[in-house]
Amino acid sequence: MSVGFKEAEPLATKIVSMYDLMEKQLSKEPHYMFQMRELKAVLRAAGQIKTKSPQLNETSVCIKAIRDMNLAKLISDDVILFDKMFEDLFPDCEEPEVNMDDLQIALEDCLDETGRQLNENIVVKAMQLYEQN
Amino acid sequence: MRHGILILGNTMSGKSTIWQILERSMNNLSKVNAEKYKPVAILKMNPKAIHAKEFYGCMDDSPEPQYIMGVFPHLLKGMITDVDTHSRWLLMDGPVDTLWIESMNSLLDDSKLLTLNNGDRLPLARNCKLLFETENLDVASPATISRVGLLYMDIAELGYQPMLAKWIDSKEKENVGIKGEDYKTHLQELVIKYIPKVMNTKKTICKELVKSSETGSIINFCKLYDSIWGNTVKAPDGDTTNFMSYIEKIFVFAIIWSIGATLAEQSRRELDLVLRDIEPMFPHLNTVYEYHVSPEKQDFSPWEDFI
Repeated sequence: MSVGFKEAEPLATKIVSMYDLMEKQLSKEPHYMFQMRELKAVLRAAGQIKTKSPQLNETSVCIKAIRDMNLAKLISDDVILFDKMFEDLFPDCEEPEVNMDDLQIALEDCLDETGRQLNENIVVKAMQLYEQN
Repeated sequence: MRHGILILGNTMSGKSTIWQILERSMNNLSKVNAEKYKPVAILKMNPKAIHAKEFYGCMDDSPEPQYIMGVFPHLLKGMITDVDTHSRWLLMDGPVDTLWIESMNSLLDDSKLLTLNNGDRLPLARNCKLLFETENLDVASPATISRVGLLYMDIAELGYQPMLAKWIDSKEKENVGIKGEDYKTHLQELVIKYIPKVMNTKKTICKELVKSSETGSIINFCKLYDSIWGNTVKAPDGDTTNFMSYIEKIFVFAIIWSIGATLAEQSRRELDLVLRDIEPMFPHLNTVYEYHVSPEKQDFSPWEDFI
């Protein structure tokens, strides 16, 4: 399960405290759950990201995994809280830029083609749906 | 990353829109960048449209029972035999119910296996994902929720504004006897003047007999306005100032009987106060609910006229 992580131990502590914080600090929604299975899903996601892009450093991999797995399900008020927690636990670390411009442009074009209004939130959500895939 | 994804959100929050545009975009992109994007084919089914027995399959009632394959295993089997060049999403669009979702847990697990009651074990194909689209998770167990990736669509993010914007945009082309542009601007002003205040009152003070969604009431409002407009309004001969205030009256009347239609008796007084406060154009007697807009007089007139 370690999938070649070298700094697994310090990162593990951080991931666990992140999940602890989310459980305690975020609002109580019926669809929120931050238990073992979610934790495992994040680890698996981190493994996949590491295999796909080995040039990333391990902290960035974890950050990306946590964000991918959680951001999509948060209600808008909690997103701000989530970002704050992130800053606290992973200071000086930024989420690795993933080039999704082509998808974003395609989505925007698609909204236009089908006669829909351009809505940023819808595009973001569609991109999150892609990332979960 | 996940092979089960659940899109959660209220009606009109854009749940269907996001998978529709993503499907289309990925199909478009796959023509340009085939390495990164695979074309997607989506199979849809409504899990609540069929009986639970028909969903997974069951033994029939004959003396020598035969197994009848359910709809879901049938779709699942079809996806296994498909070639690997496509991504396949099996979308279950409908309320989540313990009857079918609990049995899907093993499929949503790492094992990705569905065991049927005739002993068949069906795997989930590698290129295949399960998508769920539902309004709430009232009956879903933690076991299910923790197995799927969740995507929450916040209705507050989208709101009712896009609906109004689309409605107003469609007005420019309409032939009403005044310039389309003027008509559009006038409606825009009316929307700013009334809608936020009315919606706010409804949300904060008013009680409803039947719960209605915000976007739903706005859609009703647009439809009601359009139908009154199409049936009764004739273009003015000369004076447009009168006509503009006539438009406003129809506008308010449509608000009362769409956004205000679901309100309880006591709350109707609140709406009455708010509307009179914005523009004192109603007769003083009775609440605003007691009047209709008479096409002859181009003014408010009590319902008793019709008796």
